[in-house]
Formats: sequence, structure tokens, C-alpha cells
Amino acid sequence: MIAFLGKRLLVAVGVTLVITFLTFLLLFVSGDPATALAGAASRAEDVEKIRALYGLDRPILVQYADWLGNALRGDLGQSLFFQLPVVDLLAGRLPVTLTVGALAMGLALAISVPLGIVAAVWRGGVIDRLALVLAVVGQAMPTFWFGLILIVVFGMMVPILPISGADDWRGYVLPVIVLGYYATPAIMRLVRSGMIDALQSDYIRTARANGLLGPTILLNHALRNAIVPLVSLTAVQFGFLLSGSIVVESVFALNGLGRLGWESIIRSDLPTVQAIILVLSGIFILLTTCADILTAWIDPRARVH
Amino acid sequence: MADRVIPTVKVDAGLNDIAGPTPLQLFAHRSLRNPGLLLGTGFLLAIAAISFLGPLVFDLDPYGQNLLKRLKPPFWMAGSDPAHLLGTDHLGRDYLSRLVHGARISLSIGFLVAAVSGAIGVTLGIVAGYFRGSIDAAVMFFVTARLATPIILVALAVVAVVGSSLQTVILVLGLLLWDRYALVTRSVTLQLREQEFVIAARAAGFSQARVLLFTVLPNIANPIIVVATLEMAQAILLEAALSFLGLGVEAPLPSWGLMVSEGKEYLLFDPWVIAIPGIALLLLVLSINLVGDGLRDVTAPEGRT
Repeated sequence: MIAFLGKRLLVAVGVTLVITFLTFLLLFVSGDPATALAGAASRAEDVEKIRALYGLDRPILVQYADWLGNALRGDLGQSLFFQLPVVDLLAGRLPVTLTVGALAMGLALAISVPLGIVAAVWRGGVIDRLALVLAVVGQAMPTFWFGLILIVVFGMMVPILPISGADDWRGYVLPVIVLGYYATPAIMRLVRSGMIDALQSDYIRTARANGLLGPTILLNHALRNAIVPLVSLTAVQFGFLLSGSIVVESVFALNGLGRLGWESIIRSDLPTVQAIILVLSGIFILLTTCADILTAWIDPRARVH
Repeated sequence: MADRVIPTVKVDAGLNDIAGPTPLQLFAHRSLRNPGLLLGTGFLLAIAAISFLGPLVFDLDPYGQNLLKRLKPPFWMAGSDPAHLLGTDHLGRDYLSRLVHGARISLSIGFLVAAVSGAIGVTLGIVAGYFRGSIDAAVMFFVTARLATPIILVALAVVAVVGSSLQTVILVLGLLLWDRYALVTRSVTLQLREQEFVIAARAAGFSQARVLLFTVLPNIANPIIVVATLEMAQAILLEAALSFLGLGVEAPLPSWGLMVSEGKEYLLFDPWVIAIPGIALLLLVLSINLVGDGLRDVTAPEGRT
């Protein structure tokens, strides 16, 4: 277990380094930040002065090491647009994205787990078929379009919910529905197929032969084994939700991390973009690492891989 | 789902027929009993035929503007113009023409992205699964890093840097969507490398490259094709999302995502402006997913639940 933990953490650190270096490289080749900072009307010697002032004339590896050292101390640089520390900027925006993501994940689990169980137990039945349609449509529906359709419905036909911004909890309802539905099909399919496998296995047949009742078998024996892979899928999906919230946030005008990322890309606010990519991939790595450790703890077979 | 009846074989026909139906017969037999596959294939072929043949037969101009005929509604609504079956957009361009040309863009993006990412992912996966050891560890590391990358954000950033165009979008998505190919190819190669015919090919002294290309690759084609359909659908949805956010393909091109984006100013009073391209996207992705699910059921029926 200790060896597994060590290996897993090493990979997590390595992945973070690779991703941050690649984004650093990407933004480095994206144009001259000194020229952007100095403005269009600047003279060549002004640009040179700014380049030296911000240390942009040094080799890229040195700059990266510098950025990394600062990031480890909690300093992600200054936003070129807001003239504020990026950390403060993100601290204001992250809670919105995390709230939407967590609620959407909760909604997706609340729908997909019971639906997947019912679909597996009454395989081929009405609910199974409905669940399949729900999953197939959910996988094919563009999230931004679903959001706009909800805006039409709740903005024009039944105006009971706000269609943009998040002044109070009601502003979160529509974004959470859109993102939650996006995450539902994958989880439901996994629960359904896991339950079907579990219900066909020998230990379930033994439990049945020993006279245990249906619900006990279902919840204590089948579900327990079926949800082991759900741990890591939930972590992965949550990560996807956070990085996918960029679309939903721009549709519903939520002031979250994704929208900030999109606006910063358009404004060429490179330190902010860099920091958001770091935070989003960092959260993903943290989640999946925790999920791996949790899975290994529940299921010793997972420690081998 | 479909019944498992296999065509009967004449027993008196001779030794060669004892093996039962040929793989092709079996494939045809199972395909014809898979309604999802038939429906998806039919729909996909119809979209492809309309989008590539339509402009040759009819006069479909997706760019011609007519500011006197702005936002004309489609045929089922009052005030429609018989010259524009699906109405006109905010610049008076014929919506049907834009929709048909947009299908070309979506289909080309789907095919090309699936090809680019397939080339990367299959190469990585087959090498990792066949050679195992440190090569495998390195490939898995890159897969982990790729999964932790927030794709929409990174794709937006790259498009912003390089400039939005069809080629950029295809290349960026191709470089980002190879992870599932790599994982699937790796796991099937791991199973296959221990099989007798692969060991025999190796023992016969064929070069590694020859064994990989002519012995392993043809036998893992089925799962790769299934992944290709999934990635095609994914690429079409992502391109639509990027174009919707304004950093996908350039403006006059009739990308469906761009059509939704341009229509969102008018969505409260003319919701059909976003409904039409959105439903087109939904149906296209739905039919590709049906083909993918159907092919998986047909080619690997033992794994289906």
C-alpha cells in the first residue's frame, strides 16, 4: 500500500509539472508579452525596458523555474488586465465554479445511481429503455445548446428562474441542470453494467441460495461491488465538469473560473490563463489521485496496477 | 436485444464449412438485427448524401446576404418565404443552405480529427501494450497528463494563439483526443500479445514492426473503429462548442456551433434560429453514437450487457 501511494503521488507531481511546462511553452510562443504590456504606441526601447523589468529576456527554462518557484509559494503573478494578483482573482471566482460543479455532480449521482440500479434489475423493461434514451440523448446534446433551450423555456415560457447571473441560489438551478445532465449518461451506464455483472455473479447466486432477501442482496452485496469503479469515474467526471463549466458559465453569465479563463484568453491575459489551467488540472489530478487511493483501499486488487 | 440465432450450416457440405458462418456473414446477420445500428447508419448516410450531393443538385448559397429578408421564419411558421424553406438568418442568408454546408464542416471535422487522433493514440497504445515495461509506463504517464488537461480551455488558448481556422481546430482537437484510442488499443494489445499466432509470428523471426503492423493491428481493428466513432462525435461537439465561444472556425463559414452563437442574440423572439442548427447537431451526433454502440454490440457481442 505504501509503495502504491508513493508511486501514485510521484505520477501526480510529474503530470502537474508536464502540464504546467507545456502551457508555459504554449503561452511563451504565443507572442511577445512585453510588446503587449507596453501597448501599441510604445517605442522599441520601452519594450526592451519592460522585457528586462519583468525578466522576459531570460531563457524559457529559467523563467519556468522562476514561475514554478513562485507558484509553490502561492504567487501566480499579476493579471495583465486587472492589475491584481492572479491568486486573489481566482479566489473570487473558484467558489462559483466549485459550487456549480459539486451541485451538478450531486444531481448526476442522484439521478444516475438509482436509475442505473433499476435499469439493471428490470433489464429490458420500460425504465431501462427510458434510461437508455436519456443516456443516448444526453451524450449527443451540445451543452451550450441545452443551456440556451432552457433559457428560452425559462426566460419566455415559464419565467420562474433567472436566466443569467447568480445573485442567489436560483441562478444556479439551470447551470446545474445542464452540467448535471452532461455527467449523467456515463455514470448511469457504468452503474447499470456493473449491477448486471454483479447480479450474474456466483456470490449473488450463493446469497440467493442461502435464502437472503432481494433488497439485502441488491444493496449489501451487488451494489457494493458495482460501485467500486464508480469512485474513479466520479472523480474523472467531476474534473471534466469543472473544465467543461467554461461553456455553461458563458451561456448563463456566471462569474466563475471558466468564464474568467475564456475572457482572459480573448484579452491575452497570459498569467491568468496559465494559472487557471494550473488550478483546473491540479484539481483533476488531486481528485483522481484521491480516487485511486480510495479504490485501492476498498479493493486490494487495484493496488497491483 | 437481438436474438443470438446463428445461420445454420449445411453439415454435408464438406470439411471447410464445419467452421460455421464466415465472419462477414455473422457481421451481416447481427447488423441486420440491430435497430440502433441500422437507424444510425441510415441517418448518417442520409446526412452525408445531402451535404455532399445537395449543393451539386440544388442552388444552395450559404453566403449570399439579403438584408431585406432578415430572420424570415421557417416553412411551418406564419410569414415564411417559400424561397427559404428553413428561413433566413440575421443577415438574410438562406438557413437551409447554411445548414447543408454546415454538415460538411461537421462531418469533415469529425473524420479528420478521428483520423489524426487515431494515428497518435493507436501508435502509442499498440507500442505500450506490446513492449510493456518502461515504454508502457511512459505512455500511461502521457495519457494521465492528457486526461488532466482541461481540453476546452487549452483548445481555446491554442486557437487564440494560432488564429481561428478549420485547419487549426482539426489539428488542435486531433492532438487532444487520442487518449481513449491509446487506452483501448493498449488493453487489447496486452491481451493479444500472448496469443499463439502472435507468438508464432515472433518465433518465425518477423521484425517487430511487421508483427505489429500485419499481425497485431488487423486483429484490434474492431475496437479501434468503435473508439473512432466516439471520438468523431466528441470532435463534432467540441468544434461546435469552440465555434460557439467564438474561437473555432472563422465567421462566414456555416459551422453549426457558429450558427447557434450568431442566433443567440435573437433566441427569445426567434428561438427557431438556434433550434434548427442545435437539432441538426443533436441528430448527427446521436446517429454517430448509435453506429458506434451498434458496431460494438455486433463485433464484440460477448461483452455486451
